[in-house]
Amino acid sequence: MTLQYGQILQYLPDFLLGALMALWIAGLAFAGGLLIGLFGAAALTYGAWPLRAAVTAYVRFFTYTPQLVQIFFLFFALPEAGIILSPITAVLIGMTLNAGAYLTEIERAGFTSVPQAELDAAETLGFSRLQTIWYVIAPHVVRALYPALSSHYIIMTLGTSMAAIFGVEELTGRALNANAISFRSVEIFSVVAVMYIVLTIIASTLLWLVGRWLFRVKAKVF
Amino acid sequence: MSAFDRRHLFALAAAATALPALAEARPLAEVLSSRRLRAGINPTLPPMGLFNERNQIDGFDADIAREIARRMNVELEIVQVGSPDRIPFLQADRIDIVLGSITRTVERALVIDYTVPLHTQSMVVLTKATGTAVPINTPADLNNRAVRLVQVRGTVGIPWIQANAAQAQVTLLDNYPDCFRALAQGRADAMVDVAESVVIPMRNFPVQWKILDQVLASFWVGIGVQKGNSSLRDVLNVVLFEMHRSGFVNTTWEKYFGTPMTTPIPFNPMF
Repeated sequence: MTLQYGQILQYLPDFLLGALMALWIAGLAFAGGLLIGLFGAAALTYGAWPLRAAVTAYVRFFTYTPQLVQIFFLFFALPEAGIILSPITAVLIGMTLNAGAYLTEIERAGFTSVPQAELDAAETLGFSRLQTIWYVIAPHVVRALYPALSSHYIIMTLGTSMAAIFGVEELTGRALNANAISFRSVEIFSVVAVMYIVLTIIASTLLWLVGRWLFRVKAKVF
Repeated sequence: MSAFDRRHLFALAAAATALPALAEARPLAEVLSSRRLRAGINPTLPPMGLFNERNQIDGFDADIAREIARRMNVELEIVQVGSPDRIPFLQADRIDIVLGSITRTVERALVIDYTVPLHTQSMVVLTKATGTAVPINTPADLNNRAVRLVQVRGTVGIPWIQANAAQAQVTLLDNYPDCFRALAQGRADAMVDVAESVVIPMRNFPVQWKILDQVLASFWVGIGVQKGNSSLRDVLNVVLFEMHRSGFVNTTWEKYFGTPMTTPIPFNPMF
């Protein structure tokens, strides 16, 4: 019994499309989660108590239950109420809400790193609440939390493999299809593992670029 | 950890263990000297493989494996496998034979060796009596942009759909229960698969099912052994021939399905 990597070359273009899909899902859900997290953290820091209670409930619910169960609920339980989400919609909503909850927790820590003087300055300049969040708070939050945020993004990129269960054809889904057809499990899963490593490197690089351009974060990728 | 995650971890773990040295299969002599035959059976494919009320693996495949072991005068050890990890288990020499509706295809025959056929499968269209996007009365009705199909990944219906119902929308899911649920909930209108995989489990869903009469294709299912393990495979062929001749295979089939095989296995002493 020998390994025949030549036999799985035909699947590589298909796997690459799946890898792009994984990157795209993680990117979209992370961006959405980042925004939710920003407002969630702002609400927890500056909000009135009913808002704080609502945000806390949301965060608890999503951080105390497995993500798989959350997406399963969106995909298989909502149809019982007559709401049928497409596979990709269910996965994106599920991953975004889950990321939003975790990132609320993470970003909240960053809010403490905003100097009071800058907030006072923003108020003096007549910034609106939204302008203050975007121009004053966000850069501090991102800079302070850059390591935590990037590791969460990497976790999300690898976590996209869960989407395969719900019929999304990302990298793991396509690997499972190829595996069922060709039985070349060792070759397929070893190639896919390498592709996930490459994906992680690409994800880190993307994050580094975004951090550098938008918020002038000085961080190392490796 | 969900069953899905566990299975994939197993597949990866099995693949990882197989990487350093793809363990050579135990030839017949070792099976006989250890007096132990290890059979990989998937218990999530009722009635081929299932958990009985004592939570032990049972079903058609288990009965067949027990009879093979009895005729070879060895002890049977049943090893639980899932779809993604069953072949790595074989490659890593954790099992000697693998059952579980492994349809014989050229791609797979390049990787494992098959015995003579154990049973056949008949591909049909499973749909619902009511509530589909368009009425589905013949297989040709599937070739319609409004039709949503749901399939288990890598099953034989997928190439048929690509060739005959390319217009339909297809969602691929990981296992049969998820596919039946998707059909029951109205996420999909039909599924193209072998009747043997769907007739029993679909009863667990409160839906008016409809199986179209036309058999789209017949498939042959053998028992898998590691590539090149001809000493074991040659014996299994003789054992299976005798099990067909004595009627054991057909009797066991009817015990689990209640009807004879749709496409009978011709009686063939040559292999």
